[in-house]
This record gives sequence, structure tokens and C-alpha cells, in this order.
Amino acid sequence: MTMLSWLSVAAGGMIGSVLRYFISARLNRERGFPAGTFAVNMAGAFLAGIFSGLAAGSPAHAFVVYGILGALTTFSTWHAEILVMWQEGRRTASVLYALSTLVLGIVFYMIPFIYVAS
Amino acid sequence: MSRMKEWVAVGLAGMAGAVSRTAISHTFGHDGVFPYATLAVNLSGAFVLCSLIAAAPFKQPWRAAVHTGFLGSFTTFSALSEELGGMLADGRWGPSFLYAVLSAGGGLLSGLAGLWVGSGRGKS
Repeated sequence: MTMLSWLSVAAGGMIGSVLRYFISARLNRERGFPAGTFAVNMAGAFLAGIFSGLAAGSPAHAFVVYGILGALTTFSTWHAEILVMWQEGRRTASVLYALSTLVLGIVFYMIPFIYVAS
Repeated sequence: MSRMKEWVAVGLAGMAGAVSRTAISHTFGHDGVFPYATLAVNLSGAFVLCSLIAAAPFKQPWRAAVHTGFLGSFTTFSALSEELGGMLADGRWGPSFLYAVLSAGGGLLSGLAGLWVGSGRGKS
């Protein structure tokens, strides 16, 4: 990767993480469904399907895929929420949140391919 | 004003998280068979975040910087979906199943280990 690509990752990472913070602050509810985290992860998976065709390591790919989408989506918060929901006794919600994110993430990623192929 | 500090903290730490993740991806990468780098950042990030949630050493804006900015951006779900989707599209059922189980199951185990260590139960 060139220096421009690394700077693109940094700029995209700043944008993606601030967007996630904004959306999570609006939609996540204490002791409720973490709709904000779910929304950023689904949106990120869908957009990754659209932009995955960009040349790997190019500044555009680094900016959008590694930077914005990598930082917009999160794995650590998703897992921390699953465990906290389970510990609070909200076990059905915890399992549903875990499985729906994993399965729908793949589905959202694949939608652009199905659209392009048809 | 304190809210403004949190926004700046998330943005700057999110930048560092994305650059760190990309550096690890480029160093360890992907042998074309299995996405080790994404698995490593995701499991280590889940461990550290859960240990910090349990131990709660940070106040704002450091909490926003480390939890939401750095660790949120260091770990990723879009790459996981992209890699799983790509493996399934290629008909690589075995590796995709293994990757899904190692990510989701491994993330829960490393998160549990983090909660245990962070709550001080890891001390003898």
C-alpha cells in the first residue's frame, strides 16, 4: 500500500467511527435491543458487497473498505452486547441478536451480487 | 463541551484503530484459504473490550476513545461478512463454517475470558 492508501485508511477510519458513535447514541437503548450496532453492522455488510469490487489496496478501496466500512462496523461491541444481554437474563434476545447479526450480515453482503448477476 | 471532547476522542482513536487493523491485515493477511488476520483482531478486540467493561478503568472522554473509538474501529464486522460471503460464493462450505464458528464462538469465549479477567476473578 502507498502512503496515500494509508492516509485514506486513517481518514476513512475517523469518518466510520464517528458515524457509528452517532448512530449508536441515537438508536441503542439501555436494556433494550442494540439497534444502533445492528444497523451499522448490516449497513456496513451491504456496502462492503457494493464496494468489494474496488482494486484491493488502492486508495479508494483503502478509504471505503478498510477505513469507513471497517470502522463503521464493529465486532467487539457486538460480542460485548451479546454477553451483557445474556448476563442480564435476556437470553432469548441475546441468542437472537447473535444469530441474526451473523446470518443477515452474510445476506446483506450477498444482495449486491445477486442484483448484479440477475 | 464534554460531549465535543467525546466526538473528537472517538474520531482520533477510530483513526488509530482502523490503521492498526489494516497494518495487521497487511502483515499477517490472508493465505487465500483462511482470513487469520480478521479473526485475530476480532477475538483480541472482544477480549480487551470485555475486560475494560468489567474493570471500568476509564472515565469520559477516554472511555469513548478506547471502547468506542479504538476497539470499535479495530474490530470489524464488514470484513467478516465479506470473507464469509466470499467463501460461501466459492462453495467453500467447510472453511466458511469453521470461520463462522471460530469468529462467533471464539468471540464469545474471548469476551467471557475478558469479563472474568476484568472483574478481578482472574487474580489468585
